[in-house]
Amino acid sequence: MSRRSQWKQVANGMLGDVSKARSVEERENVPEKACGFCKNFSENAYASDGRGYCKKLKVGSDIKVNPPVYVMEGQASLTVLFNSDGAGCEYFNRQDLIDTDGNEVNDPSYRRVQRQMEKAIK
Amino acid sequence: MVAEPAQDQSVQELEDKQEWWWVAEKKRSKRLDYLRKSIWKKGALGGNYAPGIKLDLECATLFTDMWKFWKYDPIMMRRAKAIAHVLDKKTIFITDHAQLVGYFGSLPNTIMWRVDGASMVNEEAYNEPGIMPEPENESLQKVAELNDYWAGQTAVDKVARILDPEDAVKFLSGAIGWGAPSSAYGYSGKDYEYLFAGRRGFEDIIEEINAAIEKAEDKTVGVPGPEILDIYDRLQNWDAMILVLEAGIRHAKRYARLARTMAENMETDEKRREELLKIAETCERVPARAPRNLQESLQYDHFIQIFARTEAHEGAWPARPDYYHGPYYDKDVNVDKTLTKEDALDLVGEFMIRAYEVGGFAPRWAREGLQGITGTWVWTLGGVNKDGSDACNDLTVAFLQAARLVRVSNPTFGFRWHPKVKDEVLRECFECIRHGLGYPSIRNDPLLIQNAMHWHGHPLEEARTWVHQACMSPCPTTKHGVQPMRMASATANCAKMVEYALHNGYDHVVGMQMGPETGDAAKFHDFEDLFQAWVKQMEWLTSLLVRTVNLGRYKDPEFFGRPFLSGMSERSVESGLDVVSPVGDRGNCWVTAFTWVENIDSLAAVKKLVFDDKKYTMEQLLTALKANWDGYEEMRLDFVNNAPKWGNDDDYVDDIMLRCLRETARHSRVMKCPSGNSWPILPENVSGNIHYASIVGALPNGRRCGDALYDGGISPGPGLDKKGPSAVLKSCGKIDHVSDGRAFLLNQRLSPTQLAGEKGYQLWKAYIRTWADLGLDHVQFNMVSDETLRAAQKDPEKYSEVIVRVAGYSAHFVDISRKTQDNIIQRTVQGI
Repeated sequence: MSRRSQWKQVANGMLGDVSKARSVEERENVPEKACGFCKNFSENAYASDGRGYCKKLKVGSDIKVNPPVYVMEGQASLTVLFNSDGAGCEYFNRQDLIDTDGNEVNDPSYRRVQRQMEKAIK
Repeated sequence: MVAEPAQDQSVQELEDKQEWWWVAEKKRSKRLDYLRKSIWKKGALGGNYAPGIKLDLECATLFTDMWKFWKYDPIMMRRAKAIAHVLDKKTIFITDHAQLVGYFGSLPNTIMWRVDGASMVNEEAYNEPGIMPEPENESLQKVAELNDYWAGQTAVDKVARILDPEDAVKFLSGAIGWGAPSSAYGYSGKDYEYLFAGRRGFEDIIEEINAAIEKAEDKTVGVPGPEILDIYDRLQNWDAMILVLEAGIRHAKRYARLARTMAENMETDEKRREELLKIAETCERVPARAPRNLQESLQYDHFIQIFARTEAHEGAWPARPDYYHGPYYDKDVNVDKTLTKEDALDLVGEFMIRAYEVGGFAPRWAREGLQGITGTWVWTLGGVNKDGSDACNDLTVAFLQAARLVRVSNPTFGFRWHPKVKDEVLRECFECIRHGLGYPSIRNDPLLIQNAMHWHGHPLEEARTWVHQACMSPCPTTKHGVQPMRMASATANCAKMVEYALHNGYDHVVGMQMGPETGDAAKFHDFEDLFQAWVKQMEWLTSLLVRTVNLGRYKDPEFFGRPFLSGMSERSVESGLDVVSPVGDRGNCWVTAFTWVENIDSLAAVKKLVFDDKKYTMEQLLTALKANWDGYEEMRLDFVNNAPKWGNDDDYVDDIMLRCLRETARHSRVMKCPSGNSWPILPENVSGNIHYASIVGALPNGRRCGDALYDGGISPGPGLDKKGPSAVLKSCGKIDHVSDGRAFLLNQRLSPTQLAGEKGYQLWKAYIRTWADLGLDHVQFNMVSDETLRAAQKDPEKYSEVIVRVAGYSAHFVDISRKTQDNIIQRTVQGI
């Protein structure tokens, strides 16, 4: 695979889910084991559009399929959304959220600023 | 809730206690007091919006409806029709007691939503807590619908699709920079020379466009040939400009009708009736025709800004109001005596309040990086005329006085200091600083004129018209000098340069190979190895960001289109090209260098403790950094306390600063903008030092991941400038402020106690002379005591009007996050 194709794959993973039409239900649904509840989820520092990095998995991983595909090595981390379903992922590690207010918590590793997350923990 | 000043205290008592915010309340007119308190605070409080602020769905819906309807039109025409529809149909209002009108949202508490800018931002709007208008479910449905329509076809989506995918991924990681490569989120200069010095209203411009169309049409029915082919596109652009200018005229007339209706049918107070009729008369006159008096002039300017912001989410507000409105002030107040000074002060104060009111929905990086404000509205005051004579006038003084009365954190002022500035004007500047506004920043005018000529070849006369393009960068307001689009995506998180040099280009925070592999730092033999690795990372990082901007700028006329802004530009009116097209633009680019000084202190620390003193090995240092200094506290303190730090007049570290700057300046000339001009750096920070605190890993200056970064520009690290203000100035004076970069921000804290009274002014004036003699281009001051700031942390309601200088902008202290507040308190208070 050429350099460009490899990065295209990463870019698609990073932008694909955000730049396409989704229903209200899809946007509002926060599964029991959403990636946003996982300690390995780090919110994207650029935007609060829902994207984040998995600190464990690299590009090429797929936790939606059964059995999941885990890629542990690579140049870029796997992009997931805060409400991606992590139920099938063996690396899911729940984090207790104490606050989803984005005013003070600047650290993407701990920040969960989406309104839907606020609703989910109440 | 706003606390009330103790009614029984006199102005004198409040002044003695230096409670300037209460002084302002007591001194300002009833009208200004009402207007100041009646607007909604649109800046994000740390990261989220204040309660009651709602997303503007009306304008986004109107725009999208018309955009869908005219789907076969060329982009400029399509946008012009959509904007015209918004201006014709959106809800308008007139605030009680106001003399100036115009808001780009539909209601006073709404924040405008640039729906066609970026899908990512649209999703942020959907996810944001608290901003959906009631009923929330209906609003969410509407926003989802709009997002789905725009998904993949916004300006930034289009740029991201054609960017090199590696560049796109690394840029959008949020680790190395921010901003958006589109004029949808740009800093747009206005061709004030064309509009105000040229005394043109929209009808005059339309007349000029029609003349240009007539000439062009002679060719399209003439001899066929390749030279006439692009005229067809230009004709479309001209038509789009006319369409949106006419919509602007109609929009103002809607206000005229509303004001007249209110005056004739609703208002019982005679004085207010007259004011409403005056508003009607003003809006019938401007923007259609050139202004004749101060109220018309200010109203005209405000309309221009509002229309431009209806077209794009403009992140800055380049303006020079004393210079362009000064003649009208002089005519009304001094010559015709149709306005008293007090009435003029009311108008000027309101002009600032109307700008403070403006706010659009901003992406998270902008909300965290510009805490407490909605954009960097840095207005330029003072300076010189085109012939080099002093340009300060009575309106300069009026603006400085009005600022102390209305105490808004946006706009702020940058004052163009030069040796001919009169003492009375300088005193007014100092009074603003003494009152704790944090502005005006003081800018070295002769030096910055030279800088504009040096980097971008602006002729002397044009360079003398310069305004702050955003926080800091000087830019002319002329036909070929004005900058229609400076995109923030050339904003670099520079601390990553040294971080990547130490970690072979790998980013441990986002888990990605970001920079080039410059070698295992554990194997570096000497400082030179490390420095060369730093140079490669610097070249890579700045080049990547500049590539995004260059491409965005080049494609913007095709991907976005600015019909209104084009109609404001002599260049476009003459050529028929979208103003964002680089053709005929001299160029005025810069790379904003956030978190710059961390590089210098980190490199100096490694040089000293690892390579010179051999106290530690590189291996040991890298191990400690990877552990975020955890378990290495003694070693960390060694790197904090026993390594040289910038800002102490110490050549050991200051020479590293110069080397870094000169390497970067060399590379600045290698990188070119679409006009073929250079990309100098401009070190400053806004509140990016807080936004990036957890994104930058541990560094050899002793900083841990998560700690606030330095406050920016060439300001020394908080508390690390231990040798007094002269040493800070001397360190900064070693930099060549013309050829080493575009501008260099310096924050200083001064003691309100030491600078009290006349003696205080004389001390400060002497400081400014030294600052100028040493050839610095910028300095800004916080002059609020720790005691006041700590009291404000404890009791925010009582101190809601305390303002501080963050970096490049001011904010109300209670509107910034605790971490940012603490960072400001930590800065060294200099005794001068």
